[in-house]
Amino acid sequence: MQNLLKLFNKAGDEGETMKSTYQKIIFALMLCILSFVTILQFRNVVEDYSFVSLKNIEDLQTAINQEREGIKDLKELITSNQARLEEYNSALRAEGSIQDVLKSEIDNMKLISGFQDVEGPGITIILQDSDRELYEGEDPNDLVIHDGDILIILNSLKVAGAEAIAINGQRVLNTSEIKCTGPTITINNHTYGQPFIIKAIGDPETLDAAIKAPGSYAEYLREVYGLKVESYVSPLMNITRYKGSVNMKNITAKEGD
Amino acid sequence: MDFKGKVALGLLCGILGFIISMQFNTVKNATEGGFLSAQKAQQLSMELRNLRSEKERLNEELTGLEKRLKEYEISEADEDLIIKNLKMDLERYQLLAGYKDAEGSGVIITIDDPPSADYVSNEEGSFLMYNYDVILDLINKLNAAGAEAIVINDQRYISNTEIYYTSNTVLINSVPTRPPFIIKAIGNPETLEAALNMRYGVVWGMKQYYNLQVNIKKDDAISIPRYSKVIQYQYAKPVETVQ
Repeated sequence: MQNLLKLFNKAGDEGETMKSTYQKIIFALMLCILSFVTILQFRNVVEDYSFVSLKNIEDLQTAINQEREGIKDLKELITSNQARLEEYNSALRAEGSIQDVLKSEIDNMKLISGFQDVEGPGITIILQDSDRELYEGEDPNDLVIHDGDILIILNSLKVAGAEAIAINGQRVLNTSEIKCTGPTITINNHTYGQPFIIKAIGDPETLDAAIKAPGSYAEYLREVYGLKVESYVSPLMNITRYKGSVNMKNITAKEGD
Repeated sequence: MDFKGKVALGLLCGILGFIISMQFNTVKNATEGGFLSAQKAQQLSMELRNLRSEKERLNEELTGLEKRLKEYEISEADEDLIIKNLKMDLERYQLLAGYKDAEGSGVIITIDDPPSADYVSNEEGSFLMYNYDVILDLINKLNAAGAEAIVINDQRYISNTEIYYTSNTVLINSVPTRPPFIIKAIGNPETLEAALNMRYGVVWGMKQYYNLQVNIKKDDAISIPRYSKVIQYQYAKPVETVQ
């Protein structure tokens, strides 16, 4: 009886160990499957991620916007060229010469490149050094208008759609420089001291907003450094053409074939 | 396995599940649309391809038109000296206005954000895009050194060119671009390079203070594209000069 019980117990023990090994194997198998699936999933995501990072998508988006803008421009150019072709044709038919068409095209280019006096509505901005006393430890340079300030104000006027700009009577061309020359600023090789008077033709309200809006650079100059930045809207103003010489030593037109 | 072991196992499984789901969500957020992002990128690149081919087609059309215009001008110029002179004049003003492809000697400047090792340019912001005034400054210096024509990322710098940061791109001539900025300037290469490389000058400042990657290269044959829009002034009208 005792023996039998012992045997039974032993068998029971054996059964238990058998059962627990079996369980362990199943458990291990399941873990294996779980980790395999997890890794698979991760790899999928990670591959996607490395293939199309956020920057990648943004770059693509920018490229697309760029192409769209380019296509829009091309369409406009094509229309304008077609119009010119039409003009040539009708001019040849009417007068037998394209002289007038060429002349009007030259006038147009002069207007765009700043070699023609223009008039229109716009604003006048007067920039002056600050009147206030220096705070303790403040750099005197902070209270003075710099070439960089004018550059940024010009840029914000262009953003606001300025069509023609002049500083102290000097027409701003694409090749105009604004050079810091000690207490003065040199524009188109002419030197001026303060106050600097910037005239810009364009939509007066938009231009004025570019100077007066909170958060604009002009506002910053006014509020932080106490520089005097004033703007006046005028319904009609004159901006003279560029009167200097142009340097065209290195540039040549590229002949298309 | 006793009760305690089961609880511990259950807890571990819970934590594991939580971490996995968190990880998935993070990746999903970062890619904006998560698992679809690969698909989205494919869509985008397809769109880009289509747009490019359309642009190609339009470009051909434009070249054809320009050729025909030129034929007219040449055939007329051959017969008439006045027209020949007018044509030369027109070309000169077109060059000045930025309305003609140009070539000549000059410098090519490449500016890029600081290397990502010490600045994470992959993140939302890019230093250079926020601080585009360094580019305004650089262009101003080029002009002071007598540059005759300047182009930034293929956008001709004309008198109305604006540079403006918006929604993570920089608009130049209203065309969105991103760094690196490649600035090409036609002018005397030695003067231009010397002006930029001046001790404690503009490029020095960009490297020293902002750690930007700036590279200047002289080139004898730079070709730069024309301004690609049609300008129609709405406010500025020509004044008839009495001459």
